[in-house]
Amino acid sequence: METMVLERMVGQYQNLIFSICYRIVGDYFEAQDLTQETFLAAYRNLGSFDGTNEKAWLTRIATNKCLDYQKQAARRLIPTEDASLHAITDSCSDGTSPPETHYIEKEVRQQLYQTCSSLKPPYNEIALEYFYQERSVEEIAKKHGKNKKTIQTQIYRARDLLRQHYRKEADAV
Amino acid sequence: MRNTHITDAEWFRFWQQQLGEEEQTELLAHVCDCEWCSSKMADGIPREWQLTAPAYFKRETVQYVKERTRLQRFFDRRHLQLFTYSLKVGAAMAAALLLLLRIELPAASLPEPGSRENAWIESTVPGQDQQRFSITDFLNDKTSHINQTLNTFSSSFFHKEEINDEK
Repeated sequence: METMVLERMVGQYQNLIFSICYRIVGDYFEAQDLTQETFLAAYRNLGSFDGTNEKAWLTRIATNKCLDYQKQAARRLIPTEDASLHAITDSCSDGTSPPETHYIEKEVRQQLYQTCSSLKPPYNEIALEYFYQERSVEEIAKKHGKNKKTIQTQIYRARDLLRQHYRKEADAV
Repeated sequence: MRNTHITDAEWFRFWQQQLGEEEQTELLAHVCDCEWCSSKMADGIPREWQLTAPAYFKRETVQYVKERTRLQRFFDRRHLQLFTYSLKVGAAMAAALLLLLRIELPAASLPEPGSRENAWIESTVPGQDQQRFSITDFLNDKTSHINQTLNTFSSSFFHKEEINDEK
């Protein structure tokens, strides 16, 4: 029963919480970690939740987690000229979406691709297939002719390497 | 700590990453405590910021939450077991220390001559002053007495057997 609630909650709000976390911390994998921590905290405190406005409740938990993360990491989020987005105007002459729509998602994907490609073999291939192409562990294991455990170990290692890369880039900004 | 809701202009600047560090921290701290503003944040994400979590994310998250919950319950149970075990060990150590520390009994604490307790403690030699008495010596004496009684009994038993055999 509780598992069903958890799966429903994650399925329904993962994009929302991930977006909020990414906006606040600016790191792809840290945003994923914080999103997971958000759902963990929500799951543990389900008993004390009154059931009204679940979306706002999860948003508050996520914001809290991100603030705690920032306090620990002491990261500065003052945007530089390069990092700031251009203001999106509401008026579009032809009614289509402004060109900046989905710009951030594209930028995120592009950065992910570049970072995955920069890893040393065999992690670059594994990272591209799992994190960028979003293939399953079974598919990757079948393709490479390795067992699942080996692939999972390589995925964990690749994730650590990617995190280090992202942190270096964030510190460099 | 601000006590007013976040305005639309502030939200716009937030999503455009135009807030300074302190401004943003103050805004987010308010969101943590305000249901109205957290609801507005959730409902007001601009389209360009609506990211899609990767395909593996749901499976990993559910697995992560289940594992952490299971570990938490495991450690809660282990903590209780460790606590009760520590209590037992502590009690046993305290009893052992007490026994060791009471080895030397001061003379004034000995029971009066002729008392019932004194019948068990043959600490005094007639005509001599009371000596300092040791529980260890007392235990040794009693153990020796028991051994002697057992030896006497077993000797008499075997002696009887020999007599019966001879008959």
